[in-house]
Amino acid sequence: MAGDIETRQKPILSVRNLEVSIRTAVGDLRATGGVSFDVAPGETFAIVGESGCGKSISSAAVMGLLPRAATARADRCEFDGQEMLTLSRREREKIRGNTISMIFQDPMTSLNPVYTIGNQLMEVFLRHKKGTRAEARDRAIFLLERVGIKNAAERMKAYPHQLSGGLRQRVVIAMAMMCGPKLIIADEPTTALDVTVQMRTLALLAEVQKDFGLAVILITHDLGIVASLADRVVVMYAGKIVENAPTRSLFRAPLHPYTQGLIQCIPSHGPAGADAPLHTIPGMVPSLIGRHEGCSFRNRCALARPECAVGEIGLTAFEADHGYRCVVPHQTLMAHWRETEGMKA
Amino acid sequence: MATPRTTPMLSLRDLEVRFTVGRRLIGRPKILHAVNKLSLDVERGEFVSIVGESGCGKSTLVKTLLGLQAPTAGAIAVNGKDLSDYSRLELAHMVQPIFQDPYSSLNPRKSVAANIALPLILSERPLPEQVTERVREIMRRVGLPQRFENSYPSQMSGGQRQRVAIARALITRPKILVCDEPTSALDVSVQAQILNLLRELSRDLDLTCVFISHDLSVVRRLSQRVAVMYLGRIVEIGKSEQIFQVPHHPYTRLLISSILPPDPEHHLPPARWDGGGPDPTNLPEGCHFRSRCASPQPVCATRLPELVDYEGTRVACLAYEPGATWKPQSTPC
Repeated sequence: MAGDIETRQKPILSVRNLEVSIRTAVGDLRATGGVSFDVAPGETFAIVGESGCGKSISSAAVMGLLPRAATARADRCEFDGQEMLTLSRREREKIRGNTISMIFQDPMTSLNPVYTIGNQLMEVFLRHKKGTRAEARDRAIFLLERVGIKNAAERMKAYPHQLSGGLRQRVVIAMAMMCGPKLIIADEPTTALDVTVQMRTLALLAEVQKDFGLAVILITHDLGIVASLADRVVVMYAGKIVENAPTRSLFRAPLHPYTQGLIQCIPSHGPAGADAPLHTIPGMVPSLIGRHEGCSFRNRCALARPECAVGEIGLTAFEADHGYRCVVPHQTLMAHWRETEGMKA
Repeated sequence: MATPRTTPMLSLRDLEVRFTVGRRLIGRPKILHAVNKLSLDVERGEFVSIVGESGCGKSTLVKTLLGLQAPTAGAIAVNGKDLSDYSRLELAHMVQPIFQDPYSSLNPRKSVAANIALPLILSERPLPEQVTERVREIMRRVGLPQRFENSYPSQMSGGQRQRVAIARALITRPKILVCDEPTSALDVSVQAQILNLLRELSRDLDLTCVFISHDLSVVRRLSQRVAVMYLGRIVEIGKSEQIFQVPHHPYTRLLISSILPPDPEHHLPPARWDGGGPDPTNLPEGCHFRSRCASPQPVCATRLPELVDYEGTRVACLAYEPGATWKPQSTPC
């Protein structure tokens, strides 16, 4: 696909033109339409967007965790040199929890309430690695300590309900690390947590990632989390990547009008105690059912013009590693950003 | 705050709500102080936010304000009259709630118009044409196009449903709106729309708003006053700008430093785990926050701090009492 953003390193995960569609009673829903991205080894790669933008379903497709009504196809979906979409169930199960692990939003539902956490941690290891129970136990205790749980040997006997939400999410992070994965997919890992706990959990995730040198795909709706954690970020809207950039570049020069709006409507953006109302993006996300021409954001966009309704809009390169999917020239987009920012100040 | 000249719209005096948890055959049952000697006055037309994390008692407080939970001790007065002196109908005319999840707070089997009209029909027994007129008026007011009248909640987006919930709360023209995390189930772009709407409505309709949230960044641009709750007590209360510019209580500082701004220059602090707070059913002597505080003093273990005036805000921390010789350090996250 033209205009793809190539990273310099050989990516650990490389996705080209991923399309996921879901059969519904009223027609096929295109959950993602041609998603392409590369995740380099050791980097934190954020996928950001609002509900229904296709951020979770893209990673579910990679992992083979799609609901039954959904089908995925892609030109390429390679993890560590292996094509993921054509794997058999058994081959995929060898990868899940082993070289790729996942962290989900709610630690209460991702832990089994009737087993001790020690049992669950060891199970992952025993299932994928040819190790003894003693090795599994040592590894589990080591990782629990690493995620900041005191008396780890004692805590191994605890059941999930005996731990607080923050501790549970730490256990889930330890569990994701059990087999020494190359990639962790964290889907809204802190949305269910309290704000002070969220901060610590994110800091822990960043530390663990650095120590073990793994890549993380961080799926979130929160640009604040993206800013403090991610190396690269893609912004998704209505099933498409609308902007793909290094984090610094994205916040310095957000080009796509949707990215700009998303940054501006965060309550902590802009002057404190200001009397001006919060920035909003008017309107709502269009239905994804059926085929659509042109830009899906055009009905909510302040810069919309007639060309926006026509054809497939490609990704334009602004800098070598920063692309945006918009027909408006980047000078105009930047001017719009400065102007709307200036109005707030 | 200073002594009010008029009767406050809402007045809580030493409010206490206790629950008995884990009752056993032998031994003393555990007592959970969900709300612990809480006093708060809210003036007519004021927008006050109450911020705290899970377990701080904010939801119990909401239930108590709505008359759904009887206080164990203390008093609540609404417009100068004790809450227990109101009939359910009278109270419904004074206080209305907006809940977190518009997916579960609306009746899925009733149309939007029927959902909105129900409180009006129950409380005022109006004529059918009056109902239609009032429903249309309030739908316009909250920004719901009239074509949604006959839609069902399942056909609407989260933001639209929350508008329906707001319309339903306002149709009886209440004086007080209690908003319990009204935007935490919504996307950011929609959240901003709903927050703006609430702010506008509270000004235009002279509503008194009590806004409950776990997220300080949400309330920053919205409220005139902010109260920070920790384990059933208010630990700091003051004007919104003051709380955000110069937070005093170490817990307020912790909450503010937990806001992640959309700024890549902002770095996460090292991951330290403070072990969380004390067991809420077995609170220690002294300050409840001291196990998480960066600079606890021996005196903090002896006495539970009360709210004292300090530079325009009220803080419950011994360091701000007259004669204290230290000031707390910011708790690193």
